[in-house]
Amino acid sequence: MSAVGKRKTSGSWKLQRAVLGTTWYVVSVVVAVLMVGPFLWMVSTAFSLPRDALSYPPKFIPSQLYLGNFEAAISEAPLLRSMANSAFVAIAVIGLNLLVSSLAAYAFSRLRFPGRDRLFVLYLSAMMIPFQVTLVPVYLEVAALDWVDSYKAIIIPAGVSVWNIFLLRQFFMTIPLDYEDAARIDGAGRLGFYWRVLLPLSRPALVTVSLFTFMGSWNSFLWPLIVLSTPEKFLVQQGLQYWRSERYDIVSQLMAATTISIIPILIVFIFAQRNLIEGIVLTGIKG
Amino acid sequence: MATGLFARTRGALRGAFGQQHEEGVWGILFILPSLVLLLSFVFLPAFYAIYISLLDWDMISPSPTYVGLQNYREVVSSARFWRALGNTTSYVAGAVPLGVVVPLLLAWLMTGKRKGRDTFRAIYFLPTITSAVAVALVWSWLYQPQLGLFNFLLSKLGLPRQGWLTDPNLAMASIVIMAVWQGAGSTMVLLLAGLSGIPADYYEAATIDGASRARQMRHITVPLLRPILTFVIITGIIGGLQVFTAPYVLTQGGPMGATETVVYYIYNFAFYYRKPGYATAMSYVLFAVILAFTLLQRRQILHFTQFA
Repeated sequence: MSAVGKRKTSGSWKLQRAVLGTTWYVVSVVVAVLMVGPFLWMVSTAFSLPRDALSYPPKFIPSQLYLGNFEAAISEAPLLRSMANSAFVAIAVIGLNLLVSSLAAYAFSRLRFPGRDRLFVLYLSAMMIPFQVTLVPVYLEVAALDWVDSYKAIIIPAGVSVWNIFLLRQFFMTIPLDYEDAARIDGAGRLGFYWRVLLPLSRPALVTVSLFTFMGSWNSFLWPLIVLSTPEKFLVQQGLQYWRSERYDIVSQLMAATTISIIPILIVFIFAQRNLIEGIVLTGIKG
Repeated sequence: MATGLFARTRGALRGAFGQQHEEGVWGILFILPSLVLLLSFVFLPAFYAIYISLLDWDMISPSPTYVGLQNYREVVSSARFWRALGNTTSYVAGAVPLGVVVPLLLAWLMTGKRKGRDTFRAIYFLPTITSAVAVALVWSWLYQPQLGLFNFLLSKLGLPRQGWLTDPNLAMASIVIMAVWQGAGSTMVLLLAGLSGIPADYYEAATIDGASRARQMRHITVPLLRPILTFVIITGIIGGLQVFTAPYVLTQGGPMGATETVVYYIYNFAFYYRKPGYATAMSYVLFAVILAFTLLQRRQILHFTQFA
């Protein structure tokens, strides 16, 4: 391969690069506007006076930053309470799920026991059972256990996630087996190894799994909808939808409430964005 | 510290079962919590659901009537069910192709070193992390026929205003557009990872041979992306067949049942009309449809797992 064909006068080459670069930026910005646009519109409506929000033609930038919608959303809707509820549930789910999943992943990836591989295939097959099949029977189970309208019904079934087990297993398999022998020489048993070696070494994977579990829990809608009936106990998504059905015509307040509900996820996103994006890659590609 | 207790347990287990078996015992012990939860909340309910689907029951009375396969017969002969299945299929037929092409273009845009690329990537990812409910509420405001932003923009461009979610012919398409918008970011990230796995030499060699960018895309990019594309398409179909939140929040299955999807229908029948037998029968019919695609997916999953 010779470089002769590629040689151009530096001038025209630079120009071509500049044009391509600018085009790229323009296109990327347009796409970014399309992606973020709806959110910007949401925020714009949230800061508008209720009657201004309903004006036509719509005002893109509100004449003043009106905070009344946010006040209404906080005081008249159980918004903050529902967010606190969701936070509680999410943390509980993460705690339980990480513990259960990491133990199982440890066993599947590094311990030999009879029937292990077949059991793993069984676990994978659980992912194929769609949620609508188990909706009614799990509800009946939960009712029989008297967990209806209680967070137990949400947290405990969420304690197991085959997806998380699968991901953590992939990661655990990358840690050399010798580490266990080394730990044993130092006097640690299986649990000691798990707690003091395996988990600390797996922090990136655990963080990723926690983030996704948090997102899943915070954004969950259908199951809490079925299980919870007391408005004070509602989780954030359900609370939002419930309040919307009562405040259909006050769009600006609805948009304010929606904006507030997104803030926690936004914060998590800003801090963990690299981790989240890499996590998606982990789920889609062979680890 | 609890080490003392564990050391003694370990010693006891080793004494009782021998070194090798001790590993096995710990393995089973660690599996136990997840196994119990899976059995209780996934497998057992799945079988229980089969039993329920053979009953005529209202979830309350202690003595339900056994009716055999009658629920299934009613489902298969119900016009409303077929309409729901048709709606769901329309959703899938729209959301999956768009949900592949759009992210592919985005990923193609985001490849290569450019300043600020990571920022753009993060921005494109934003809709994905937002909850379906929040997205639906924002978009229902955008789609509002009289006051919404979309119709305003259309009228500015001199185009006719649309009914969007209130128009039976357009409602499902509106939901599809929203869904593609929300899902584009995560699919893009997946595809980006796949694209970065294709060696640059391939493209260089093709350029030397005189192939245009379009041809390169067709003959290099797409074939090498096949595994990921297959994964995205099949998971997209499976997920699309189960869509619930968008129609529930946006249209409540309307207008005139145009957006009533199968899972929404199941939900209504189980928890409003209190006919769990009918609902679970329906869920199994849908399951059969999903299973067909899942079996296609199984080869992918088996390919992914590595047994140590």
